[in-house]
Amino acid sequence: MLFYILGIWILPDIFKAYPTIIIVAVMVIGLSILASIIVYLIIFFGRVRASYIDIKTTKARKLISDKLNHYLFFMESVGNISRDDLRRVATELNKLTVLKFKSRLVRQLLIDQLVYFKKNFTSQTSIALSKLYQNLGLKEFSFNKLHTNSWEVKAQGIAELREMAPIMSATEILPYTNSSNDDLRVEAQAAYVWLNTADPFSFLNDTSEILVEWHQIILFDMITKNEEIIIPPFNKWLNSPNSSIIVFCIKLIIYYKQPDAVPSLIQLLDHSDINVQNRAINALGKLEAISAEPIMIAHYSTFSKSCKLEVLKALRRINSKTSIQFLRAEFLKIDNFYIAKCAMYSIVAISGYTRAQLLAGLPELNAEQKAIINHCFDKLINI
Amino acid sequence: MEIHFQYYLHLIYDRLIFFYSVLIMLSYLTLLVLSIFEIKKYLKRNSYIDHKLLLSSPYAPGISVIAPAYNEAATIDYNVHSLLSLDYPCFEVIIINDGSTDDTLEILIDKYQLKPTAFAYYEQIITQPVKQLFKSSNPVYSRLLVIDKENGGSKADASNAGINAALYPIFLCTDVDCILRRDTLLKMVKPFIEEKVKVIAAGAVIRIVNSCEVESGVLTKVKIPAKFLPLFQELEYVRAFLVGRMAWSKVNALLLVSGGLGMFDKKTVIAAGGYDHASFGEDMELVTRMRGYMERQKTPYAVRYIPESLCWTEVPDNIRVFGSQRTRWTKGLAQNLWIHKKMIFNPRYGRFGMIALPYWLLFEWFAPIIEFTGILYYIYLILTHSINWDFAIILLAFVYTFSVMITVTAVLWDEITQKQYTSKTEVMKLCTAAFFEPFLYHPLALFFSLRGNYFFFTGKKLHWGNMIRTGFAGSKNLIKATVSKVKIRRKKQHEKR
Repeated sequence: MLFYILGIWILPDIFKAYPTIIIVAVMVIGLSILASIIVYLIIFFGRVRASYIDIKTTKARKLISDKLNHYLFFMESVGNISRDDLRRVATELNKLTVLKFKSRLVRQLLIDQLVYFKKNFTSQTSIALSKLYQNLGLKEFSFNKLHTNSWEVKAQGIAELREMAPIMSATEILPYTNSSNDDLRVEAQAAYVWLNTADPFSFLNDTSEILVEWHQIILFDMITKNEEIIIPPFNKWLNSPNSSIIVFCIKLIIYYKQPDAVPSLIQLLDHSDINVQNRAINALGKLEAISAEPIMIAHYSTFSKSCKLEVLKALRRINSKTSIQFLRAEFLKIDNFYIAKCAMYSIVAISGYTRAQLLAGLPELNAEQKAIINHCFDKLINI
Repeated sequence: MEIHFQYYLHLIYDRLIFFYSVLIMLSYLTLLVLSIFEIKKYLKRNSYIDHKLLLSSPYAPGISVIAPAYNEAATIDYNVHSLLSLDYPCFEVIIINDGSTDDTLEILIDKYQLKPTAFAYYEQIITQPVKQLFKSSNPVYSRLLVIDKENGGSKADASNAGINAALYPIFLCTDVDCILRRDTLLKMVKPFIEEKVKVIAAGAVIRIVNSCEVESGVLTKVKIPAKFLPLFQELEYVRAFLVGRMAWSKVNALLLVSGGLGMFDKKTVIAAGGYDHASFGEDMELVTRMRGYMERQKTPYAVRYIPESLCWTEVPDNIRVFGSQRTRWTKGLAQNLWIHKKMIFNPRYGRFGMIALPYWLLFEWFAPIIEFTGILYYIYLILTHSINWDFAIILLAFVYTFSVMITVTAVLWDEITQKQYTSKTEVMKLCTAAFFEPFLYHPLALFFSLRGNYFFFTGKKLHWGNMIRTGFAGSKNLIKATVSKVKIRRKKQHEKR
């Protein structure tokens, strides 16, 4: 209808006597041609612009890289770099004004290079790179990103500040740790953990949103790489109403080997979320919590299949010979192939039996059971 | 009687078909808009992310890479090497030798130092008998598992055998001759770990390797296809992946994750029954069945697509193979919609049943048939001298200009996403091809679609056929060398016998 009205208004008189269908078709033809031309122009000029930028960045990247490599070598060989040396580096790099240093593009390139080197250097060189970042005024550049409207630019700014300006105040990041945008929030939380070494885990108290696996990986990486961080007992968050926080804390309990968390983990065996149950069982196994063994066996029949498999693996890790009878019974039940296979793996790992010893202690087996035993003893499979 | 017939014929073709065309065009426009939103969202979310974080994470989920191989002796060595070189901390590669009649298995045994194992193969999905499983005695290839099975007559059967043997909760299904980008697993696993709902499948853009430069199974230079058929197929792929799939991903109603590159949640696939070996569109059929299963379970789920080109595959460059492939695809689509007809317009299946399936029924399955009858009507009008040439030309121009506009916009989306081609000339060549596609390529695609429908409606038997590989630019010597190696080995075996 809209096309028809537009057509009547725009089209020359010759078309106005045509049927509605034709008027609409003519309008669509016109608009399609116009849109195609615009798209072509965008593609063409986009390419022209891209090749211009490409030339510029290649040139800038080479210059930046040469200068930085030179000074990094210098820093590494000298050790503790003096304030004067640092100023000299900054002046040299500032000479890149020929490359329109003030342009966002070149500044961003410089930041990317510094971040890259920062990730690959430690000690004095790393500190010198951070100082260089600040001396060049790039901190302000990153900081300004926090005041844009695009969440991804904010997240990028936070990531740069976290990497390059460790002495900045974490309070500048704090407002973003409650952002409604999941990605920005997690980036801010990761930066907060990195920058606020005194109380880095306060976000665990407040987060009501689900912490998806990817975000857990980011935060886990940030926490475990920070050697200055004060590690709290993570079992205090195992009562959180947010299941994803519990799962995340269980991962940290395993990483920091916190055996004090075992009683709290045992309580989680009754948790309503199967994923939490699974992770708790996994943690009990990895912490080699021998006290949890009889409890897990007692709970076994009430667990889901995935939890049962996790219990069998946990028993293998706990490595106590008392569980062999239970594992043997599970293997012989053979109501589920994967459970029987997992049970047999655990028997082999715990008992240390040879194939012959194992077979001697077992009754007549069916073909599937024999196949499982052969599988567990095959060195090529378990390489 | 004749007057009535003509009246209804005119009514259908002058009015109804026009509105049908307008509806298709509106749906394309909607897909175009939705797709750019989804692409932008993806680009934003990944603009500052370092995917390599996963490489050092102990919590990266394990992935089984499943690649069926049938008579791939010429390139299997490099293909497997390429799969084993993927960047990911925790994965295995499962090659299924689907009863090859050439030396595929012998080459694998020789190159990867394979030995038979006592692998306890558990058949959760029924397949043709598995003869033997192999693992490498060299720890360098510890990630490799080779299954030798009897030929099942379809890729589906071989893939199911791979799923049965898979160790990890997520699997990537690909063709052994596809070239994957090294970070494919890092990129494709992300939807599985970043969504709040369970992701049951994910796909990514597949591109055409014909004319690209390849060395030892690794893509070294992307080039636009030089030949007629691959060039138009490239255009079609860009449009299908970057517009169609991305848009359907946006509304979570994606029906198809390509067999060439698809990542799946193993538990859901097994619960849904695995690939259907009787289907000619087993990839689409699997996603349809998985969706149906999830909807019936009332479990929130998603199927996602990534706008990045992660996989390169060789496409047919001769009419015979192309025709056979397209006929199969159309028959597969028709089979799939027919098998799952109860889901179509069924509110129980949510937007999938109410939007996606009706779209595929009306605008994908029926479109070639309606188009063909339209052509017949045009011929009828010409023969009876009742055609209004002015109107006829305007209506043809209407369809033509719109289709060109959609295609060039798809190329623009590709440019926004990743600028796959290094030179301006190549992009312009692709854009120019858009002008000729409706005349040169579309009639061919239409013809083979009709042929597929003919095979479906008549129940005539259709064979899978074999994709004839001509090799990629820069890799021909390599293929020649491999082929001669195979010949020498055959000769030796013959002498032994």
